[in-house]
Amino acid sequence: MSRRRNQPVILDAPRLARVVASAVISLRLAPAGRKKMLVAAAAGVVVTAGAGAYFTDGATAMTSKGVNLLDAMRDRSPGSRSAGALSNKGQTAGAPAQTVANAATQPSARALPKTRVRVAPPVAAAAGVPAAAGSPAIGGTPPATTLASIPPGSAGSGGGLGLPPGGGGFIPAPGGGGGGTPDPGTGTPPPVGGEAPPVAAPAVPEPQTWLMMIIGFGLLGSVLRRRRTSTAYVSNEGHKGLA
Amino acid sequence: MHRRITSPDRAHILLTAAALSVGALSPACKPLEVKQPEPQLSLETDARISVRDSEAPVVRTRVGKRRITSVLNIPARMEYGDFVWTDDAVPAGKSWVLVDLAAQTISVFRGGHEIGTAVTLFGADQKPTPVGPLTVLAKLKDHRSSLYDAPMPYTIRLTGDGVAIHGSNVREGAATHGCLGVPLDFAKRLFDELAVGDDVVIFADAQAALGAGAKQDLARASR
Repeated sequence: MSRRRNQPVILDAPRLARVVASAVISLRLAPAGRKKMLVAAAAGVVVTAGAGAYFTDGATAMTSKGVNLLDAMRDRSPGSRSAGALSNKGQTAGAPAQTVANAATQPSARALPKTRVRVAPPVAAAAGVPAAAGSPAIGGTPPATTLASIPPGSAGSGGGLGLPPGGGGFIPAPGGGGGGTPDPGTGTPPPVGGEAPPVAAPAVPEPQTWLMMIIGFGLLGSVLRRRRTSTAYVSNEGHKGLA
Repeated sequence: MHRRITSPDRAHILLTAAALSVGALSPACKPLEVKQPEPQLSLETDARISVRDSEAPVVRTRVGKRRITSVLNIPARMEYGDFVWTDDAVPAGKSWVLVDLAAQTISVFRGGHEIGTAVTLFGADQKPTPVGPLTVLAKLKDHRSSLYDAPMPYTIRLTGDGVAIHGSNVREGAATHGCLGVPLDFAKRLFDELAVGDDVVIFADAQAALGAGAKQDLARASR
């Protein structure tokens, strides 16, 4: 049987039946010593396959279809944001002249200045999260309107929509805050953005993998155990000439 | 030449056959396929671009893996403020979100099927949005930022210090202090779709991260 290298061997039903039949025949015809070797080898294969299935990261070979799918996602993008977009630099009240001079190149929106400074809470009052003003209970009632499905290609545009003027009205500045409600219980510094890749999660073995490893170890154990105990094999020497 | 098969031999044979059968049926002997319910979608439909599970890009989350088996077929380039949401005939499944900062897009998936996408705002250069696998910590429908005194409708909190997905006025030239700003209608649908504990994976460049792995697999398979 010829196949390309690195192609997975797929054990379908006919092939599996042939493998099992050949294994059974080999065991029946093999002498006692070789039988033990075959059983031990089969157990070793089972254990190795189980360990290999456990330690592989589960990555499957993507064909060009999977790569094209990523291209389709990228093609719909408006593109990367220009570098230096809307930094928080130069937001002090004492630099109006520079702001006017660079009005033609600076983006029209400005980052919101902080309206209050976070104060480290006293140690005695560190427990619990303060109730944010106006924040309802988590998991509030979803809106009664059903979600209208929008066929692809006819995208909904939110460019002309204004945000609800809650309270004193919404200041049309970039997207609200990244701070949100402070959580004094944690006291963790804001995360540092960067190019850190997602953390790789360990692979979770399938139940079949666990079963295969257990059976393999059981086979090895039984083989080792039989070596210590005395076994009664029927000797072939006395049956020569018989059918 | 025949010999009797004794009971211990028979036991060994049966055990070996059982082990080989289990091994053959295990994921180690055939390409790994994530068990998912059969989608009701046709692979040939123009509304989606679909691939089989074995061909799907794999995204690692905090607790496991997610596969992208179909995405919306959007022929045009989206502009700031645009979004698409369609979950017709998409079977029930675990919802999760993928954010690509380089593409300025956010995609919502149910199972392995994309049901919505939008152009998103993200953190400015001095206030970058964190990247990596995150989890929905809380949902606040009418939240207001106490730090910046600004409304954050349909807040989906991702970190303990306030980074969240929320409705915003998405337009070119705008940025946030770390949050992900999406159109209001999209934020409302996303708020209803996600639950606390769902995965949100933020990439600095998703195509580089996912495509690089795919191209390595292609190169290995073609050798």
